[in-house]
Amino acid sequence: MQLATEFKNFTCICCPLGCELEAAVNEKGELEELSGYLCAQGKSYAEEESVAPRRMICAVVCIEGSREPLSVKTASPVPKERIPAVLSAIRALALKTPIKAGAVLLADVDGTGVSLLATKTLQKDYWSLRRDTR
Amino acid sequence: MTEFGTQDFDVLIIGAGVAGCCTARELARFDLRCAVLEAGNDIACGATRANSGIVHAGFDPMPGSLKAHYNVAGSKLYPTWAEELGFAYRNNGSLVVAFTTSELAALDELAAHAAANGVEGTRLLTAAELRALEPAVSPTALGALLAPTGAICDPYGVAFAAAENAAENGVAFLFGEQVCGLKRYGARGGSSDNCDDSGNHGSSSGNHGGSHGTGAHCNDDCSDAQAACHGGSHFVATTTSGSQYGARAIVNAAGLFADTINNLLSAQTLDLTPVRGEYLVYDTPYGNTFSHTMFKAPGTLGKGVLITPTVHGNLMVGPNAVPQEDKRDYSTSKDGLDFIVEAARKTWPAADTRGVISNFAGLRARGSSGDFVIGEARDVPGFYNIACFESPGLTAAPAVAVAIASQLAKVLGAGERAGFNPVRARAGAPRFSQMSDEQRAAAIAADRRFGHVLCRCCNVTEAEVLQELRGVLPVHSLDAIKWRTGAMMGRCHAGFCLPELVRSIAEQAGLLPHELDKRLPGSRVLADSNPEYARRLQAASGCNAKAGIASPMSPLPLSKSARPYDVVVVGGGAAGIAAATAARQAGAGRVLLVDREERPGGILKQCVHNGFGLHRFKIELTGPEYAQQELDALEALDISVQSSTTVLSLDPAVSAGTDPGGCHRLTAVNGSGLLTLRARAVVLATGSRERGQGALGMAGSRPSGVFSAGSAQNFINLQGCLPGRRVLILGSGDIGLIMARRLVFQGAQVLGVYELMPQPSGLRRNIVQCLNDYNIPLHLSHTVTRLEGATRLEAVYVSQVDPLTLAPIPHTERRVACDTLLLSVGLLPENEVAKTAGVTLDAASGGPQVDNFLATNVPGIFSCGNALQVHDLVDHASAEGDVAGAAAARYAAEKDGLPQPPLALIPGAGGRDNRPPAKTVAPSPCPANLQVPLVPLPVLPSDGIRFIVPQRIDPQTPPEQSITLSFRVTRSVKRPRFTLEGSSNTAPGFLPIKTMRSKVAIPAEMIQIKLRGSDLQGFTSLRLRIEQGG
Repeated sequence: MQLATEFKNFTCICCPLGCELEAAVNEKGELEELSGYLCAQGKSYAEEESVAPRRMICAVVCIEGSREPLSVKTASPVPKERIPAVLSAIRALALKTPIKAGAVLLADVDGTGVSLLATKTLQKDYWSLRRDTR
Repeated sequence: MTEFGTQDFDVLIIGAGVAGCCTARELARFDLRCAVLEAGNDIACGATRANSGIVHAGFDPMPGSLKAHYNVAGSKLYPTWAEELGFAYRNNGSLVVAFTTSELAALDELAAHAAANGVEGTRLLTAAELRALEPAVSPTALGALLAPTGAICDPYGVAFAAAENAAENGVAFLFGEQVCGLKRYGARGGSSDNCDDSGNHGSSSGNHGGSHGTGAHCNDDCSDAQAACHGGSHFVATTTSGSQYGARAIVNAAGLFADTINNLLSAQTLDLTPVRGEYLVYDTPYGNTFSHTMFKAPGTLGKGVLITPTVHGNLMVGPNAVPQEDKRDYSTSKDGLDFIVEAARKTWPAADTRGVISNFAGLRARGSSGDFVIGEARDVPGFYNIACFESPGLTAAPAVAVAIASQLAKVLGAGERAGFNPVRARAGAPRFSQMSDEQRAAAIAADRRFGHVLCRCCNVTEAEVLQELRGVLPVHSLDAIKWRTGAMMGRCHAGFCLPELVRSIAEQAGLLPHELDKRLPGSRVLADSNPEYARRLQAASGCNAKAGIASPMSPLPLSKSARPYDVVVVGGGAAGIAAATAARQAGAGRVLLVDREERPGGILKQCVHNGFGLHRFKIELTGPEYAQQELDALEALDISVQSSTTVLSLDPAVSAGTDPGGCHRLTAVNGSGLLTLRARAVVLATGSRERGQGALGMAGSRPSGVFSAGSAQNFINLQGCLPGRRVLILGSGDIGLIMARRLVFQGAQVLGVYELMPQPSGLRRNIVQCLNDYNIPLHLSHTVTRLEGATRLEAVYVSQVDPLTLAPIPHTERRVACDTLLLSVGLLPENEVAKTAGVTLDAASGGPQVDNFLATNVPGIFSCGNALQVHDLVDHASAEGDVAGAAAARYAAEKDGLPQPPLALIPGAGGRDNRPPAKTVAPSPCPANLQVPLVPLPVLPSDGIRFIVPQRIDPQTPPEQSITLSFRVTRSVKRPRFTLEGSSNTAPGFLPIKTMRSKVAIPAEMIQIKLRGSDLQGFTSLRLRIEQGG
């Protein structure tokens, strides 16, 4: 008997060549075999991407007091499979002006251990919308 | 017989097209209560909106026809109407061109028609005379008929001006009122009674031949008995909204639906066939290709298409004539658009689709007799038709209006109204785009919003948009603003200015952004609005809070005779901020950054994703964070920023003989007035614009829901509004890829990305992280060929394309249902200000031709960032700003006779010079400076390389100066080798200077080569070659 190993196919993002990478990952989630890369940079990308892919999440959220929404980001990449949960947490934010760039909006987004930061400063904007009564 | 709830008028006009609006204006002269019922949400929703815009001389209609009579009469009224009402009208003359001997004979026949119809001044031209008038005409032309009374106008403008003048004089305009029932109650009280004593009116029975008096002279035919009968008539019109309107007379000006309206009452039925005519509109640089309206003589192959300049400065080609069933389908077809280009080539051999900014279709209301039906229906006294009003209806409208109105006044016994003013209140008031500097200054002094330019292509200001929103005719759609102000009519066709316009309109009209329609009711521009809008609306209800925009940067007080700046940077994006900072660091004392937006930062403000700054700051930042880093540096150096200011033109020092200090003069506007800025050196960092829909030649309808990717990005990231819910993206450029992910994050469904080329055009990282991560399919070698949807987009048609020719492959078309299409099909450097200064542009890069210090051909004017060449990475745009800013500072110091930094102080593009501002600058010119100026070294691309920036090397470049060559390839090459070669006066041919390689070269990615001045010593020209490596 032999245990079949999981294969993952993905594209290298390190340069425009876009090498098609193939990684074999064992049942413990460890990388066993890697092929398709052409350079050292591609190898190190593939080593992480095959085992524990992570992504930075950048999004916007509408806040009270400003017509311009607030842009936010995770302080560091989060596990790729957590993206939907992180987005839900961002959507659930109820924020008001003023907010400064760099402000920590959530200390730990959905248990990822990563914080959520504001990436721009927003002050209250003095503008009002009124129905034309004509 | 007035029913409950009925509003009563003397005359009801059904339809607010050019016929209805002109008739309303003429009826307003009399003491009559008039109303116009319009089914649509604006005037000119039908045939009036989309046609050739020609005021025909009148040589074409058959002598004796109503068309002939009213055409010539209308043509003669136009100059007076244009003056009184203030609409765009230009008497450019018409030419009918003949290409065969039989067509020459046809010209004689037309000349005879012209004489019979009373057209003045026509004459036949020889081929030589024709070519003298129109050098662009095909050399195969044999002769032409010149009709000097032919003219052009803006059809919407004619209808609008007439309607506004009518409204000013008391005529009511009611929109969204589609007449579905019409009853006549006769003098004796019975319903639908017909007077028997009516005259012989109308020509639907074909009795027009030889007796054009039927309609034209109808007002003379009315007997007193008839008038008495009319006086007793009473009509009630019911609309689909459930309203009822009573009237003593009806004017049926319902355009394509005039048959339906007529047939509600008259037994003499009409039957209209919609005949589609398709058009192509070319950008303004093509506007002067022909000065006359160019018709083709009728021949065995039909009449052909016309080519005409438009009053907006464009060139227009069309129409074909295709009968169709549907009276509401204004879709264009690929076959139709192909046909008109082909047909136009007969007269204009250079015609192709380059320069096209839009295509559209109009429908003409063709009757069965071939002539107009004008006047009272024979069997329904008091019911007047302006029907079968196809070409030359636009020309005829004023004359028909005069005839119908005077007849109605007579039969209804109405005298002239005291106080009628034939001059429209706004007639003669120029648009901002047409104003002189003095007029602009005065306009801004009266209303500061004239200093806020919303549409950059056409220079339309916020004040003009507001004027329309407060005008006598209501605005119910974005297109009403477009047609009335000219905003969104330029080459970007709203691709760039839409978000700002929507925000401004929502703000001023008190609308939530997603309540705004593009054209027809239901053609919503957006899917959802930022909840903040609703909060503001609620907060403001009941209170009198005044709308106002807080400007974070207050404008600087500037007077006309201000001391010159050393360096003025135009454009506050990444390149501009870097240029201003670098100029100060290189020793320039007075530096000003001018930006059109409220806050500098350019497009970085809306790029909320990460991936910026790895080269420049060695850390990964989001767009807003990158912008803030740059702005912090700007602020630390205390550099002045003039925000909310639009530069309109740049007068270079060489031609500005009027400037005592030999400075460049920039003309700009903002809320505080018209500014003249004087500068020793100018850096143009005006960025780029997205390639628009018009350039793609898509056929189909014109629904809402089509966005440039950048405008969708603005709506989502800067306004919190959702453009759509089921989205298809055309083009795999980085903005489109980034937007695919953003839309998914905002809850929209992204159906797929379609790319014309066989390879993606965005960065690999974005393909993986924006598409693959979210299972969004990428379809290579595909394009969108057609749009479907009468109001909002309902579907697009995608086709496979041949990878070599890029032409759609027949029979591969597939319908994809969606409500939104995003276009991410490339960026075009924006150089409108550069053009006003006479800067020479490179056709391949789209930006100015520059040397390695980014100096343009105009001394003292520099270029950087996306205005110079489109970049993939903002870091490179900033690096170019560093070079241009420092070079501009050096130029300014030279002009001022101050000590100047040596050339080597200028950073090579690609890396930041982080030195503190130069405190003391040693006057140590390099030896080359002592010599007579040398000839610049041209940098030549060879096969496989699309362009190289810079296009030339300054021969005085010192040996230690770093030089960056940026270039793009025309096709993908694996393991390319790049060889830079130089030629000199001492040896024949090119000698290799340097050989470099990379892993792969693709058209979508810029490649840079770093050099030193010393590498190029002794050479007189350079050439870059690319080869496939081993």
